[in-house]
Amino acid sequence: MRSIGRTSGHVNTASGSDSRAVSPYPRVDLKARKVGAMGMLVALGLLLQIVEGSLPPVIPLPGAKLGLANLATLVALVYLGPLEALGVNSLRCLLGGLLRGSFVGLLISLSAGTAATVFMAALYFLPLFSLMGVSIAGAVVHNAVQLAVALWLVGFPGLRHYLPFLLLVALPTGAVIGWVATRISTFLSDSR
Amino acid sequence: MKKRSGRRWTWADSLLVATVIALSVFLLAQDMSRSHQGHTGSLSVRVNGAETMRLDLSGRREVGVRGWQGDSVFEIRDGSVRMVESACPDKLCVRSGWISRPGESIVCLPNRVVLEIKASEGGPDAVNR
Repeated sequence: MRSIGRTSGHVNTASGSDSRAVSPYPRVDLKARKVGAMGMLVALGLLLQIVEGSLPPVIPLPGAKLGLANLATLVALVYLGPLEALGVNSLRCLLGGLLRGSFVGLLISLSAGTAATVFMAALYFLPLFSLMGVSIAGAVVHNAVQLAVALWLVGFPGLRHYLPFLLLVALPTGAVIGWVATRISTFLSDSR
Repeated sequence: MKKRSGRRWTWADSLLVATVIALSVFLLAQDMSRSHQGHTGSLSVRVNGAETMRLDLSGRREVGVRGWQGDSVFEIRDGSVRMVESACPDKLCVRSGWISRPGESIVCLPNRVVLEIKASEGGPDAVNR
């Protein structure tokens, strides 16, 4: 259920013709497919992050961005699962941090991204929120943690007054990303 | 999985958004009310370079000061100050309007009167400088 395109292949089901509706692939292949999908999502996330970084900022607030790379994390959450989403996000943050070459930026994006992904995974598996709501919650948590870490690293208490603005900005950005993620996931499940 | 990702906007989503908005508005309101409660600091009045008065910015009143060419009258109102009248030819000080934040000032060169808001200790702007 969680793998991409499960029903598309008809490889050699010699192992069993039972009706348990398990994957026709052997275990190893399933794992390889998962790793492949994760790698692809990491690469996509990295690409989105770089593209976003080279565009002029949409909202003139430092630290407030659209969070295009979160799309990869959301798709991983929907199609692979919470741990995989966490893995995709951490790898993307690490690689992105290495590419940008700023350790503080890496620390901030990794901690904020991890917190947001854990939170999103928790909300996603509650039967309450839509993917858009999950994305908004993730954006809000990301921005809050981002500011908290920045406050801790920079040690300038005045930065605290910036919190309400970052929280408010997270609503539209999270909604946009959530909407796109919903479209992507319906498209992916239709094209099976 | 398909069901979850395809789910429409729910009441829980609305609740989430409403909570975040309420929280931000609350934080903003708190910040604003704090900056209005004497956190802004005090008003320093200087004539010809020497400080002649140090006033706090609460309440409403008009204060006059004797300058180089005549009297300057400024108004204090809930943390803000403006020049109301000045015995100077150009009235630039009157036209500069209200000031309220630490570090802001109104300068009347002809009358040699300077109104400057000084930060009180511990305010965010005091650290900033």
